Amino acid sequence: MATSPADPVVRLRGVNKAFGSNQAVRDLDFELPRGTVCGLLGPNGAGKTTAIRIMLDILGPDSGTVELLGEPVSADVREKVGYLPEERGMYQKMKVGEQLTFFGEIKGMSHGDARRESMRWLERLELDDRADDRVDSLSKGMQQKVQFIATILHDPELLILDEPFSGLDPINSELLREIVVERKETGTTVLFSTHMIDDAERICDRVCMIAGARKVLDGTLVDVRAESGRKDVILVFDGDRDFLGSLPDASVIDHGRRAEVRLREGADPQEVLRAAVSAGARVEKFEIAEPSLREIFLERAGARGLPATELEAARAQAEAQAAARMAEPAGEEAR
Amino acid sequence: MNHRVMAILRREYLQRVRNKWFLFATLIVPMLMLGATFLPAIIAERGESRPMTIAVIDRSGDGLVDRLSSVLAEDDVVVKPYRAGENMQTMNDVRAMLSEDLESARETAEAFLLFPADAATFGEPSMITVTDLGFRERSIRRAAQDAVQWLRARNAGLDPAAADALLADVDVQVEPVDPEAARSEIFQFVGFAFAMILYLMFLVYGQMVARGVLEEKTSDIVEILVSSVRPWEMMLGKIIGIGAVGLTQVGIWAVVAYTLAQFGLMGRVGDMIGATADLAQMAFPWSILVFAFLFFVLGYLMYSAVFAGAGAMLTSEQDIQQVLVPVMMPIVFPILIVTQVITTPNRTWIVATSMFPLFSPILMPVRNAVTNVPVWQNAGSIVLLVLAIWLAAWIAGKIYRVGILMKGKRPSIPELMRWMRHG
Repeated sequence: MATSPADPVVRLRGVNKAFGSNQAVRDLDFELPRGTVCGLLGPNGAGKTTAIRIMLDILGPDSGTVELLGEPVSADVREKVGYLPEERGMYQKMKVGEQLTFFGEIKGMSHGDARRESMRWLERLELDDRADDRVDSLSKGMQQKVQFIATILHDPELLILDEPFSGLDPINSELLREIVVERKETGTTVLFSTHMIDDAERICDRVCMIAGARKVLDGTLVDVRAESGRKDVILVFDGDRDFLGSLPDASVIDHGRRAEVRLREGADPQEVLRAAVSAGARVEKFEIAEPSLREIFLERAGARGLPATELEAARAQAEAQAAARMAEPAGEEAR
Repeated sequence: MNHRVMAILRREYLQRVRNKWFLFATLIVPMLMLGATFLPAIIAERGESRPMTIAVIDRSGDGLVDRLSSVLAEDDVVVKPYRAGENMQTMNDVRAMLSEDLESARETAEAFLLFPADAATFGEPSMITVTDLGFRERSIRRAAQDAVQWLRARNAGLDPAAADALLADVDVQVEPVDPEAARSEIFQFVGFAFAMILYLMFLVYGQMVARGVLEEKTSDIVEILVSSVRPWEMMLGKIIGIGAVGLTQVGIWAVVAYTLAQFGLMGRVGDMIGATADLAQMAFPWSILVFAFLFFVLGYLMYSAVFAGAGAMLTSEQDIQQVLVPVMMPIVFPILIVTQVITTPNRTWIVATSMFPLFSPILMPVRNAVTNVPVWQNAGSIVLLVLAIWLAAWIAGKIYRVGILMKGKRPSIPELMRWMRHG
């Protein structure tokens, strides 16, 4: 086959897609190198799912070209891809084992292989005793694990996971993360979309951000951070807070004692410290921080002139997730 | 067919055939067949085996009782003269006597028949029944009429032989000029049965296809499927898989019907519906079964493609009636005119209607059953039907492709047109 290891696993060129007057994806160029784990980030409605559907030829693009594993998308090449959609369903009245076997078969596995692999994965995810139960007798979390098995059953070269961990309890979402990392080590390329940016920061080595139908960021995590060139200053102090408002080239989030100061590119963080000292503040902590992925994302999305509401939505969502993460240890104890 | 179509086909087939409703529906029909063949026979036999007695009071003169018993002997009815007092002249007298002692009346006879004194002129016989006489009441009435007519003929001076000749049944023998062309009336029954079976199969299995598509939409399976399987592969696998379920069912029924026919039981059905010929004795034209089967398969392919397209337009259970009713119309219409088709299968408008591909899957098997359809009409309607299948699959495929991923509101007509352009 024409595929060589150097070819990107996914290649989109100049892809556009509109639904009526709503432009869902605009001028998207995207390349996914083999063997990487890439997070596809963006707020809800940004066009992530549409981009994924175009990659898989579920939707045809209005313009642009799509290549999977080095060739135009065909039925055969799609058999080497595992896809976990965001809205995942199963035949509710079918038995778990039969259902997985069916999903293996439509991916080109023989009946026997599909059965064997189904059982192996059910054991791994501690569901082997439910193989002969109907899907509708399973809990939501169990169903989600079965769906995950259906995605990786045929040992795909490329895994595309749309919001894979949402709705799972901490133990199971950790188990699935483990499997994703394990897949990566055996050479599988993984693209997963999420609006939980912290997830991306933990297991991705690349990120691609989409906001308002456009790609706003694309590259390795290291490059993305460096490229941002921006530095944040965290300042903890007692005293008069008025000087915060008069800092040049900066925006400030004041939490009372702690203040986060975001500097424009090229600005000197020392200026902040100098201003604080000359204002008579008692500085307890002064830190120059690399921006988090979330901050970079919010900044990039904002730079593209996104409507404020969408930005606010993204912020609220990120915060809600952070709060949920805080609550996790308690959940673990309860088990 | 590739492995993806096969996988879908096998899933559709196995899931449905193993369903308990399939088992129930498949078994209930042969039970009804058995019931329809055995039950009337059992009832009739039980009635026939019991001899019946009627008591006759003859006020008109001699001879009527003998005449009556000779006619009724073959119906297993015993006729015995009843000696009654001179005062018993009318039906009311008989009723009064019987109601006095109903028990002994019941022991005496099942019915009391009175010939009045003026039976030879204008008097009419009357009968009081003690129990229900069933279908033999008609034989007794006919025999009583015959006895009175025989009495009047004799009184008019005819000798017994002439009277017998006068009263003998006169039947008209009817034969077609070409015995090959004519079909016994039993084929009208066969034609009607074809129409009903095809109608039910198309409706049941067509709706099964539409509901199957809806289920995949509402449960979000479709998203996983379309990432691996082409929409046309999904549609083809589903249609053929469900069609195979239908063939399995028809196959089981055919085996049962054939077995029953081997035991000559279908002949009894023929007797029951008044058909004169016995199925077992005549050469059954197997071609009518071949045509019924062919039109069943082709008709299913066309209707189910339309149902698949309609199913892709559905977004919730509530839509089903609104969307599917127009789709069912072409299947319902032939049933509305099936009586005309059976009685006058060769009128111009019926020939034209039956060849129209939306109606031919039901009407052509009916016409083939009741008449000799010219070859050009069978060939023509098959060609038209194949073209219609192609057209239906093309349109439905386009709607299906777009529709299966659509959620929320059911599409309007202009939206549908857009789907077809983009599909």
